[in-house]
Amino acid sequence: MNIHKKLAILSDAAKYDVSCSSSGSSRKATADGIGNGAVSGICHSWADDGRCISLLKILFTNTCIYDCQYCINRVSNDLARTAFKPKEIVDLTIDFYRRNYIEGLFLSSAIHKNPDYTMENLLQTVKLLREKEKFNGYIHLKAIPGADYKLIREAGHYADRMSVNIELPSNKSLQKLAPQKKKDAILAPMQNIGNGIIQNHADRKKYKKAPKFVPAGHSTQLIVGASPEPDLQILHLAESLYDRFNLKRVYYSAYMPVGNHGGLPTEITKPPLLREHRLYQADWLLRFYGFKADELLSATKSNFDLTMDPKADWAVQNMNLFPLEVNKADFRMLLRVPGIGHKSARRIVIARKQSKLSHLDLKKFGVVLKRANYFITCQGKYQAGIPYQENLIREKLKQTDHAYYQMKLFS
Amino acid sequence: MVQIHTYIYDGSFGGFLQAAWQAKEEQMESVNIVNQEIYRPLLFGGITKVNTNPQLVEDISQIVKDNISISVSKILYKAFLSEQPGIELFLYNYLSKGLVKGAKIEENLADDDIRIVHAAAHKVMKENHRVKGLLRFQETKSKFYYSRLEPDHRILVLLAPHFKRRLSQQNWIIHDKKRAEAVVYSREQKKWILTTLEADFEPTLSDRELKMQKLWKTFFKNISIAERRNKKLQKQYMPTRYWKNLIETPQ
Repeated sequence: MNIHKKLAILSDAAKYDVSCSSSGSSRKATADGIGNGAVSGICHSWADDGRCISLLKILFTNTCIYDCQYCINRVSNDLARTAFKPKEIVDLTIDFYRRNYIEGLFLSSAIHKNPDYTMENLLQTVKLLREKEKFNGYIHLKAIPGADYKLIREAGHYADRMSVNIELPSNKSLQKLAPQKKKDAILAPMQNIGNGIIQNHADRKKYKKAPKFVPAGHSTQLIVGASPEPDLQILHLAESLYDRFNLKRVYYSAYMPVGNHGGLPTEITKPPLLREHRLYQADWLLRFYGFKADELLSATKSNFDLTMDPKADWAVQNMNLFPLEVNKADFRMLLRVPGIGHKSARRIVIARKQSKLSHLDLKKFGVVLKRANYFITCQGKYQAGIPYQENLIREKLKQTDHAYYQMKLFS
Repeated sequence: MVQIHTYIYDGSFGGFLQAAWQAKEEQMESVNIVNQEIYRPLLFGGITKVNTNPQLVEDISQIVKDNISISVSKILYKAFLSEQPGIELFLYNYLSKGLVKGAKIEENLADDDIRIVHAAAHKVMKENHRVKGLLRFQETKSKFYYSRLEPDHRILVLLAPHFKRRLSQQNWIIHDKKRAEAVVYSREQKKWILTTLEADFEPTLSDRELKMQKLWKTFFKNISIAERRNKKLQKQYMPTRYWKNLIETPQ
């Protein structure tokens, strides 16, 4: 099979992995090498689905021994199968990088023969890239659950980011839809990588020359809508992954009907994109805004209101904490105002040292007042134009146009 | 009636700095600073044509760094590259206020002069970041990598160091067709220079290049999920004015 055909098949097979990040690596260029890391990450294009393209995202092979019902590459699915040779991937990566198409490589794989064999193939490829081609661009590599951790650890010294996809957010769903996968086999490498990263940070403080290990952190992906778990359960899982496994990112992927198993929802014809979007927003609140999952959802309300963003929803349920005087409020509380993000909060805290701020001042330096107005006062003035009442404000904050977009500010 | 005194500079940032400095020292009541390329004589008011003196520019630049801050000197430079009509006057005001208030001037976000300069610098950096991704090199028959763009702002000098670090083992050219200039990097000398290059320059591509372009187009098409098609979002991140210099064809 020629390289063109292979690339067509193995990029098509890789597209359901939603991670596109190329950030977090400060890998330096070398005199005789090619490429470097850009800490902020760089997007090189946007596909027709609006998702960013920053890495050459491909599978090593789409030949799989597993039969996971939610997955397009399951063994029982009738489709063309192929595999790259390591050299082919290396050449593609270098050629694309030289032309500035990409920040680097995102290499994943179906499970061919067994987990160790698969992981060895991935390892061999990235080793070639780093050692032979002296490639210093970004590499995101899958850790294959069930593979010998020695292989994964070695690969972690070549990769910038690694990831293990949990896919189904509960053990029950896993047993039902992916019976060959075991929860423990998925979590074990995540825990090991998480610990390895913490250990590496400590080592590098002591010995500057200690080789880096997964410097851009590790991540995972959860499929939303293939199984019955409510948002609260998904968010709890994400929260504990951040806390316990030192995860950098959890990605959420709206379920696309690719299966034919009785256990999968049949009523879904379109991916639940708006629900996915709400989860990304909530995930942001966990990581950057100091929220806890239990503040956002509860046993009596275990799914997000699709008509409202989670921060606005939280604020109208906590009217007693607002309105906030922007000239006095502490940074932590400013961050909790709908419509005020890190940048605006920082600007407020800096500028109010110089002079007392008015609504006009906020507007001038770019604070979007559309939503914030309902929850703030400037020098005692409340300028929302409607009384400070929950039902009225809730009505104003509803988003009825169902606009959604992938959050990608820091990704 | 207050008459405006116009200082004309050569279009370089150094020239502007020197003109601003001179205007400050001469304490004219009302000042304008204009690039010689766009200068049109006014009926009233005096003119001073500033001849850029590199040593003097160096000294002024050091004073700005010492008496205001390095951060502010960078902001002024980036805002200057925006080529926003009339930005010189805001830069002049920023500079004057900065020399009084010092580094803290940067925090004065409610001041119009400060805000407008910051906004201009921000636009430049935003385009710079975007183009770091959207630039496409094409391998030519004579073995260098050529790319072209028509940026809103004068960002070549910001792009060059990025690509020098990243692609130091290949000869490359980044061509600003709008301004008919280019940065040219030589792998032997490990150096880049800014030079003029006519807007209609077109190199001949290598055979291998055409093969790579085909592969990239295939990847671009296949990585998109049909059920999630979203042109609005795509255009929001990647404005259509950048499309014509891409290899891939969004559709």
